[in-house]
Amino acid sequence: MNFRLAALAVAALVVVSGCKPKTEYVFDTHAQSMTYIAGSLCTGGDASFDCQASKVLTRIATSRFKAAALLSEGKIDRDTAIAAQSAADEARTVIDVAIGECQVSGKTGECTAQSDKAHQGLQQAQAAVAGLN
Amino acid sequence: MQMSIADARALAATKIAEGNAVNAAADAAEQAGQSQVEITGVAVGQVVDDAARADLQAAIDATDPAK
Repeated sequence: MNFRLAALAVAALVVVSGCKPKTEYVFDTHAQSMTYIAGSLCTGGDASFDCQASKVLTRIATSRFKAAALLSEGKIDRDTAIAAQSAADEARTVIDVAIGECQVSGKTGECTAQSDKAHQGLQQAQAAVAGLN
Repeated sequence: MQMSIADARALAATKIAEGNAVNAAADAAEQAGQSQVEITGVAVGQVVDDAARADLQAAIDATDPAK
């Protein structure tokens, strides 16, 4: 488990995506990197599909990072970690389906229009991540 | 924002290990004959979660009693 490496990966990806960093590239702790992710992915309005979907994805990723850290520190057992992985996978499947229902702009890559199924999927994913540790 | 495939790959290579999702995206775009690759916020979120999943799976595998 290497949070610094993961955070650096995030930094690279955020740069590639064109998101403007809100803070300097300081990722010494798990909490800082997750805060950075949450602050960087929402480039649209808070109520936008992209922003809400990004928050769901961030929540899923955070759950996984947290479980990995706790397992590595011996604070949870292997079965609990496997259950966390499965729960995160289920939530990820739901949000991926919802994202797939978007009409994506070829220029910006943003979800410019969504079907009812996308909205329903987003709500289901939000409900799913609410139950994640 | 768009950047060239070469720039994207160079940036990724200096920051993260080979085989990462950015390189994979660049490779796919290149094979498709595209000159640029674009990664969006939602796509970044998906890639971040992919990395998180791999991290957790590695931690799980490391505690496999059969190993």
